[in-house]
Amino acid sequence: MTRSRLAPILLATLLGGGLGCAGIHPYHPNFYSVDGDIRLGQQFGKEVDAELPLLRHAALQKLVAGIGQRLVESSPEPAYRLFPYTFKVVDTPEVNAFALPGGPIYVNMGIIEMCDTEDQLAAVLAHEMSHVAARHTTEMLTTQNLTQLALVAAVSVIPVPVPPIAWEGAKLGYVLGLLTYSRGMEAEADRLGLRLMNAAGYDPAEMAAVFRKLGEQQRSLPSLVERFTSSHPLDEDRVRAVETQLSTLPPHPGPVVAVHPSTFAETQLMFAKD
Amino acid sequence: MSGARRLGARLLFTLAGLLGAALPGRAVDGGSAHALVAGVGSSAMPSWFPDGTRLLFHSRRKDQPQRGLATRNLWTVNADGSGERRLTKGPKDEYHGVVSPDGRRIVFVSELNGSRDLWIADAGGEDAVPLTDDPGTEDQPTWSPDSRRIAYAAFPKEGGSFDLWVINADGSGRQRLTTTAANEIFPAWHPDGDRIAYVTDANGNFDLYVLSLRDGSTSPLVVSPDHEARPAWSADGTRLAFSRWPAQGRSTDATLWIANADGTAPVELDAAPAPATHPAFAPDGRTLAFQHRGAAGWEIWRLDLPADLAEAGRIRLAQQIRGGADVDTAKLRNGDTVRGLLRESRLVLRAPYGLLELRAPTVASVLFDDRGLARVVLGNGDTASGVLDATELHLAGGARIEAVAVERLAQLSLRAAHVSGPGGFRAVMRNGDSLSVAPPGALRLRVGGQTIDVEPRRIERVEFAEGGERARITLVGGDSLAGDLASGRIDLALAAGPRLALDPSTLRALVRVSRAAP
Repeated sequence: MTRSRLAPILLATLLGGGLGCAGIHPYHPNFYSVDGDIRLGQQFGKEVDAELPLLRHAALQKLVAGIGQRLVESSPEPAYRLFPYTFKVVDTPEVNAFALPGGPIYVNMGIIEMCDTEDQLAAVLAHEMSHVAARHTTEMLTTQNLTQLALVAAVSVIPVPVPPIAWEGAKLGYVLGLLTYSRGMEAEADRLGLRLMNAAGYDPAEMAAVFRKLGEQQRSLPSLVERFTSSHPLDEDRVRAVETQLSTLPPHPGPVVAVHPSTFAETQLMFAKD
Repeated sequence: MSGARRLGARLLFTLAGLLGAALPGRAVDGGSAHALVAGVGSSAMPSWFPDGTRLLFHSRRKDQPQRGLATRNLWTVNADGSGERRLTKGPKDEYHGVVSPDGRRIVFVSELNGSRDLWIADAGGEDAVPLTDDPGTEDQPTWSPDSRRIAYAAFPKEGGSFDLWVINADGSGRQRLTTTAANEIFPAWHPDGDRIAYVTDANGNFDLYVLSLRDGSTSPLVVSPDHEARPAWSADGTRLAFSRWPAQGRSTDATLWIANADGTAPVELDAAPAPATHPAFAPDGRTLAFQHRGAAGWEIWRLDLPADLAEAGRIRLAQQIRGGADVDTAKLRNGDTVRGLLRESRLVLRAPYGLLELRAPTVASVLFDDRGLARVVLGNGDTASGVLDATELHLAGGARIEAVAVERLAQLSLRAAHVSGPGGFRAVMRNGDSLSVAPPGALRLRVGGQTIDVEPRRIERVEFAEGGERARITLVGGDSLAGDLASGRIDLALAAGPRLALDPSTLRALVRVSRAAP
């Protein structure tokens, strides 16, 4: 079968199977199924894992995964539970965190160092997990580049469409480039992340605190947070929007207690560069 | 200073005339601290050159961008804060530099090859070469006193926890010093060459332990419910400095402490502004360099130690609140100080796990929190928390006896704490208390269908499950077994005297404090 004969078939399958699929906002157009998000993330994840210096320290992994697990388990939105989240720590001073579609989340040591508390790290993870649950990357791919998707479909019989470069062997830069969200998506990830933190018993006010710290970093050492701020546009309006939403959150029944009240500080110290 | 006058005016009574004690206490001379490097990016981890004229540190500065990132590089500065000089210009982070005791070389951590490796260079930062070059993490180096070896903390790329390692300064003879599942970090080589202080999380929080290089044994140095980290020895080996922060607090609450080399008589150096960490003794032992976090990042500071702490000789326990005399000192919540000889021969503490009847001469200090909860520190470094079973204490000065209501007390520091009883194990309680105890009796464990009595001589460590029904015993030699506890209450004799019949649910762990090398 030639590429040109296969393309319309696959494209039709995608269009038929993908529209209106599960997610936090099911009526946003998304040609990818939930499984499609997961497989795309797994494929990108292989590339990312090969390229980035991952830190496989038991206590550090346990800390980050423990926070993520607590967030998922307390999630008020069923959409969060559709995805198998994985959490990896990247040994780089760059202040950044990012999520791949379908669940893989990467947190740089630079941002772990920057956080003062477990709640602040939870704010970062909650924000990234919300990008996953809202399926922002595949939404963008869907609306961005139908032509490219058609091309992919034309050259492949793989059941999940991936962008052409990814299919050919994704490059890290390309993968990270995909994760540049619109302001609307960032605002949504903030809003969802706040609710996620609140439900898990973390202090949602720490999200505003961590944004302010990022703002300070942007002023003092701009290159360190360049990638984060380019993919997560950060300004005073956004911080204020987060602060405004704090009063709208439902009261959490229990006290705000960190999962590992001392482990965060301990783990941070083991890797302290300062 | 004005605080001294204020305290002096508030003294209720004192035995100064009787005992010749210096007055007043804490505020007479807390030392003085000032910044050496501040306001230019973030600077940290100071290390003295052996002549005491300069410091090595690392700094991350906005005006030094490389490949889009402001990296950490090594710098030096004169001891008075003048003459900053940049030593390295690597495009990746270079940090945690330490000057060799002979002053000829520096060892530091570099990420140039993709992971944290140790590098070695001459004292000017020239001719840098990797000392370790593998994909794992090697960090936190410390020199042996003869400048021939380097100890460090490391874990492999495949994962795991930090262990201590040692390597010759020419890259040969790499050897692992610890093999536990816990993290052993921040080694500090003692000037006698025979031991290394380090930080471990084996007890669930950070404590200071010491490793003997003669026989591989490890023993507690400073163990408390708080976190202790970043130990540093004075050049003459008689003093230990470290940072400490509350168990439930943040490392940004860290303050500096100084103690005798055996960990006794820890004194908080409150002239160093918090957060303060990473102390480094100047060669003369009278000054500490440290890092303090200012508004714009970490800064390098120096603290000239209070005169009585800078003097050679053991730190006395009364100095814990800077009383400085052979009297018992009570600091009240309103700031007043009362001194005299404590009349009570025993202090009874109601701890969550039982009643502790402590002989007063074994108690070094009692700190009271805002709710009146007492934290007792014993002469051997043990800590116990609970409610003091007394409404008032009595201090005698000459013919006069002053009654002090316990609810008015902020801190009590006693003059000559001494604990001589047998230890051998450390009981780490679920509430965070840490007690030196004699070896327990045999522990009875049901494993599968069998009941096994485990003799204490075979026990390396016992970890108790939350409800106390189950335990995991690690045996000397490394084997372990887990099962249901069938011993009932566990009888323990504290080195400080009292005996306790403990419900296993109140225990977190029993740890042998001196063990053979693996």
